[in-house]
Amino acid sequence: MEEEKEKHENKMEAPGTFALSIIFLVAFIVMWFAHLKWLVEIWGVR
Amino acid sequence: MPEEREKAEEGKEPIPAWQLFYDDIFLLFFLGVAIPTLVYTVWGLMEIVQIPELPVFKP
Amino acid sequence: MDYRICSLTGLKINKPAEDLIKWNMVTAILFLAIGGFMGLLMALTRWPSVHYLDTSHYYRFLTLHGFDALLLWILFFEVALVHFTSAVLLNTRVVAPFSAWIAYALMLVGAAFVNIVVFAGKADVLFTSYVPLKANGVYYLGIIIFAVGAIVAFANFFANIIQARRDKAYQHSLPLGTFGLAAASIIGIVTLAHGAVIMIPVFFWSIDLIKYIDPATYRLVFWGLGHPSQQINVCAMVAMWYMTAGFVLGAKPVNEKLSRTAFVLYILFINVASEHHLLVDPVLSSWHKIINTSYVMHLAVLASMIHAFAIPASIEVALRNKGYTKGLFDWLKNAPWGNPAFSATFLSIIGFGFLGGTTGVIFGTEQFNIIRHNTFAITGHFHATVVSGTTIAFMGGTYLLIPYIFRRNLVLPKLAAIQPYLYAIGVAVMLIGMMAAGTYGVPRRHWDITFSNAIFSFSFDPSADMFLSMMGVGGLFAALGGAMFIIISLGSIMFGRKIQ
Repeated sequence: MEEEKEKHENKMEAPGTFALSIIFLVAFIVMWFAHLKWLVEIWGVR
Repeated sequence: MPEEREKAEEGKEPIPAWQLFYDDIFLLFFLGVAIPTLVYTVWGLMEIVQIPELPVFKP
Repeated sequence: MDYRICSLTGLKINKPAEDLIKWNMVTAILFLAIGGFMGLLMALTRWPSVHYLDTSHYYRFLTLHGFDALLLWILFFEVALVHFTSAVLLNTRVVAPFSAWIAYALMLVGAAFVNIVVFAGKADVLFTSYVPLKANGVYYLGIIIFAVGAIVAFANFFANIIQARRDKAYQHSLPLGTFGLAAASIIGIVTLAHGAVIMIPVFFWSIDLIKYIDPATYRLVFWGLGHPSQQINVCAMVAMWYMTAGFVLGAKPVNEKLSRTAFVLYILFINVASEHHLLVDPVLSSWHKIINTSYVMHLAVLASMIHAFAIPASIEVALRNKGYTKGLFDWLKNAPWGNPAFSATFLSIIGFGFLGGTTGVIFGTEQFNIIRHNTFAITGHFHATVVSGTTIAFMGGTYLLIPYIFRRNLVLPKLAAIQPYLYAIGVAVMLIGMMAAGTYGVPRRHWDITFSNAIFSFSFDPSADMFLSMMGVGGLFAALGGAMFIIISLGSIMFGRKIQ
């Protein structure tokens, strides 16, 4: 019982949401740098 | 968490201090009004008032 | 004490609460219709190939669009939520129905004053009504009356909570939805107090009893009304997310402590975000700007990050408990996407988080702000938060409350199922158009970017026109989605099949 309870407590309850958060983090970083590139080309920001 | 509250009601464990703080809606009200009023409004007004008026302008 | 037991949720619904929710919600939807229609006219005017309205009507209807859509639709709906979460969710009663009705009447009278005086052409001052622009006194009086009504409504919330505690309707902690609206009500009091402090002297100035209002002071205190009024929306919207997930799926917060901490961070630290309206003002020191917008406000941004993932996580746990446990995303595929209350909630989370919140935090930094200030990108940001965020969430809330409170089934259910998507996609396209156009320097609140009668000629990069057209097309779809919502919601309230 104790082992099962421990196993349950250590299990991630929402792995899908965690995966989504990583996906969005990566997507955000990619978009951020793409956007910076655009800023440099349009605005001449150096 | 429901387990904590059950225990607390049975008298086995006291309600955590943070929970008591979050439950005190009127303390939150006071802080929620006081903090932005001081940090944003009052401080901002203090800065505005310190700027000297133009001598020529007469309202 | 007259109650009925809701056959769908088991909640005890107090009759005065029910009536107050109904009247506030229907009023909210009617003002959304007016404000939304004004928004369509705005999109058609800023779309260069259409350029529909003439100059004075553009600024006039822009004032009305701002006031009706941003303040009236949202605040009337929030007052409905205030009564729902205090009386209905706690299975208790409205303590002082008479004062709640006075609040409604004051809000309605104030709203009417403002609408009438703006339509009459006496107050083309835009939603911000910056001094020294001077509107007819009735405009300011209308805002003051509306604000007083709203304060009374929020005070009712706290009175109901106190009574609920005395009636032992809840032990120790409020349910999370009510807690969120408590955060909203606290911020509401901050908002309306600032509004009163600034609008009362401005009213006297408009009727020439006060000689001069300092613009810097006006801006500081006005934005103490203007921005926190949007943070009321954030708290109410997030509470709506939790409640919709709870009602539709039986989802419980994954960690109550964390979700409540996030709301407390909102209560303590989100109001100072007003500073970002003042970043280009010369009067305030860098210290004031950086401490308010950066250090303090980012604690509230942390809260948004918490909610943004806590709610999908709670939805995932609820769906996994229902049996959708295959792989990482089985639960996402099998979520009730056909239920407009649920889909609106999810779309609102994505819209608010990725389009609205992030652009807000980015544009709120000093270095970025100077590039984006007064451009159409700012308009893009705040439409992302209040339209693709709050409005869609409240639409979802309407779909939820029509069966619970009005006891009617939805009419045109197939149309209702796609309405959130149509609206969200239309708004998203519109927003991207706005933000991209703003990157090219297209100004906000500006009737004619060709500067046709100006002494000097200036032309924007041709891409700006393309993005403005994108905004126009997106705006058309958004208007269609909005009209569908008005028809479905009001139609259901009047003609929907009754539920027993």
